[in-house]
Amino acid sequence: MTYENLNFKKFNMTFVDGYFYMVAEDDDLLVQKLDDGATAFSYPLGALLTNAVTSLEHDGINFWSMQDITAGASVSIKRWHLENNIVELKDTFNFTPNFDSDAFTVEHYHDTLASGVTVSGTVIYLNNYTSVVSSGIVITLGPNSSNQYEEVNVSTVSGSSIILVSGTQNSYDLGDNVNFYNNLWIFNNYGTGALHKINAYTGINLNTYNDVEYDNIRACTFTQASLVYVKSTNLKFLNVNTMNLSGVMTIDNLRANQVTEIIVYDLVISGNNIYRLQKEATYYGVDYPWSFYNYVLSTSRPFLDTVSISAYPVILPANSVNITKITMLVDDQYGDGTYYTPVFFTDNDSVGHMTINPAYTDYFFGTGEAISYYRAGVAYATVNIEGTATQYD
Amino acid sequence: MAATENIKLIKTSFQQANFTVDQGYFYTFDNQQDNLLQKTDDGNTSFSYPFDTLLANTSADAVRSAEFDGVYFWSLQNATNLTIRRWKIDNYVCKLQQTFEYTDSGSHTYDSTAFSVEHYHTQLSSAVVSGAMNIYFDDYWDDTTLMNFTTTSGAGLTIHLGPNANGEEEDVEVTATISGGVTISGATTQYAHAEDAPIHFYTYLWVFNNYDGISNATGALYKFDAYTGDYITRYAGGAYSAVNAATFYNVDSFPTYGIVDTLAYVKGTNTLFINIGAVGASLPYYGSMVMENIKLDEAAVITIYDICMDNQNIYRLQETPDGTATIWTYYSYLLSSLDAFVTSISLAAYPAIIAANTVATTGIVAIVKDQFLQPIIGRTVYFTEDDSVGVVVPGTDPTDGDGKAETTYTSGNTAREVKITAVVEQV
Repeated sequence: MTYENLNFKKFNMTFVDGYFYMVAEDDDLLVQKLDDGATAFSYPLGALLTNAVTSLEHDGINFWSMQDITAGASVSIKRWHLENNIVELKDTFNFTPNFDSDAFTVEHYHDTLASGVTVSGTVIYLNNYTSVVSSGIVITLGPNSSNQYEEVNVSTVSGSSIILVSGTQNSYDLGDNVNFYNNLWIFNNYGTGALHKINAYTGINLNTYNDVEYDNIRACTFTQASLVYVKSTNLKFLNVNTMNLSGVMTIDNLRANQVTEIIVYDLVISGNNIYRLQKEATYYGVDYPWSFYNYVLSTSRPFLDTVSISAYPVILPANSVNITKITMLVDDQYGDGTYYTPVFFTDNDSVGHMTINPAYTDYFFGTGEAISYYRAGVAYATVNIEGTATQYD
Repeated sequence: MAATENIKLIKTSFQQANFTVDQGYFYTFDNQQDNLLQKTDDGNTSFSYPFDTLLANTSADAVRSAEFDGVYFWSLQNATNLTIRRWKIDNYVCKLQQTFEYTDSGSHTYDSTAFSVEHYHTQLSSAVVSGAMNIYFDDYWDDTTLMNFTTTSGAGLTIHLGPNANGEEEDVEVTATISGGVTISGATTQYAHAEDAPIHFYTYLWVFNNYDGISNATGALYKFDAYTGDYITRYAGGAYSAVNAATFYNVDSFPTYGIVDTLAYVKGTNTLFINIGAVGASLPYYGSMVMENIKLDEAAVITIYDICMDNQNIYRLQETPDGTATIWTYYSYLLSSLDAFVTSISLAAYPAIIAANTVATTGIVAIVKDQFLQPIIGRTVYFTEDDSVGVVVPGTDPTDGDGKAETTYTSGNTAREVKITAVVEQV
């Protein structure tokens, strides 16, 4: 078993409704693949491509591709829409000079209507993301109960009211879906690294955040109001409104030697599943190089990831009386302590023993600490104490 | 099991890189033998019809696409000029009827290996006597666009009647439509034809060109008058570029549209069905269907050199069988079907990582689709897993209106990659 799945021949990937997608520029196709590598369908591109697509995104309505046009100097981002079995090109934004990028994403939001809209309605209300809607944005409404969609242009936003340029063609019910995008985010390797915020409708650069943190980023995506990118062996969640990290989680993109990083070429998050596109992986301590690109899973659910055990003091007299405090630290992949996780201790001394077993990680403060005590035995020896914690949800 | 070679058409210099089908026989133009070969499924040559006009022997002059419209064979050659020829088997000879040469100019550059002829078939709804001016037939008589077809030289639609019981056949020109049929021009019919006698007619040639005008930044679908060869219009689009296989066929695979006459072409792993009767700047599709022309590596697309359809069968001319890395000595066909079949099952777990504690669960969702990407509804999906402790419950679930079936997996007690399999039977 070599853990291959998608067998993508190109290193771009996105995921929509249970299917994986890849743009193959040499065939000019958007290929829809199954988890086992089989091709479920393919869609011809309405415009021919020459350069390889280095990153692919889906905003709920549109596919977005990035190509390296001139190595280390310019990139092209294209918006595509699936129409009548063809992937039609809708927009092209070229960025040059000094654009050296492997990763981008589109800031996009999925919301629902807070109230119904009648035919010719000019005002809509959203449940969650009104604050990121602005004039000029195109909102996709639908499907409604008749499976109709439409795009509407935002004129202005006043409080919670989103005023449209013209009335809707169809009626929509409270709770019907709403999709929109607003900005492109491009990681730029030029110089010491930068992250560009770009108007996704005009291609105009809105802001550049220079930071070495944004250098050499190969994979990113956007989910739930966060720009998520792979930096080394971490997945970082950037709040694009505050530009502060809202979380960091570790991923297992290391070879078995625990030193060599494995490149993550593209990234998709669907629900709690994180799909990392890689050309090699390590499973249970064994490295697997692949001929093509496959996904490797992580999960965004807090998951028991590391345990660390320590004793204080570490040397005791073997008198069957003295005790040492045993602290087990149980963290998830975000480096956060787990709550009220049972830890079972074992030791290899026939007389010495743990006084509290199992011990639970703390319930209130998220330290991840489970504390127990070891009472010494009667023979001088090195005593091995093991703690085991299990994920239960 | 890998497919084996069947019709065995010669690959060298594209000598027989074309085929079409009629009534169980395959036909291929061979520019080096100067024959139209009739072949059987097992590769035997059942008959051959020598050309009355010789073709040049170079690979550039090889016929790259063949079509049959019910009466005439059509060939496309992509040499210095793009050449489309109409042929007819007559007295054991494949006789050239007409040649259209397309030369590069300041307005157009031609580079194509795929075309088709728009053609239609019906039958007489009542017998025709010799000397008749009106003929009545089952279908298309009420399609005013078709019946009012006019060539660029002003002639009306030519309808081919016959052969009748005496083997006689004739062409008549439509001048007007009447209820249930048409009035023909000038002279009356020469022969009598019985009810249900076949009727064939053709209208336009459709050429997939790797140039849109003189630009190869995108491709274009060119429309030519099939009687005069004159340029009518073109539709630009990247999807029309690098197309190697196309045909025209009467298809009943799209419930929304019913039976349709459609221009079908292969792009990548899909055959797309164009509605060439639509009006507008671009042509919509009736649908698209995925095929299995992918190599063993599940990545490389296998080239389809020509395509033809007969009943619900799609024949794809290839040198590599589906799902292999084999290269055949000859071209042979691979089959697809126009009947809806279970083609793909998407299987996903949410969440995909759970604890190996015999307690944690994950939802398993299977989406079952046919080759047209339409959901397979009301079909039982059987779920299994390869973990000795973990279980999927329920083991079966019927697909809903979206083709979805769901179950739940409860984890085992060993940290490992668990393989969950979903199986659907074609009924």
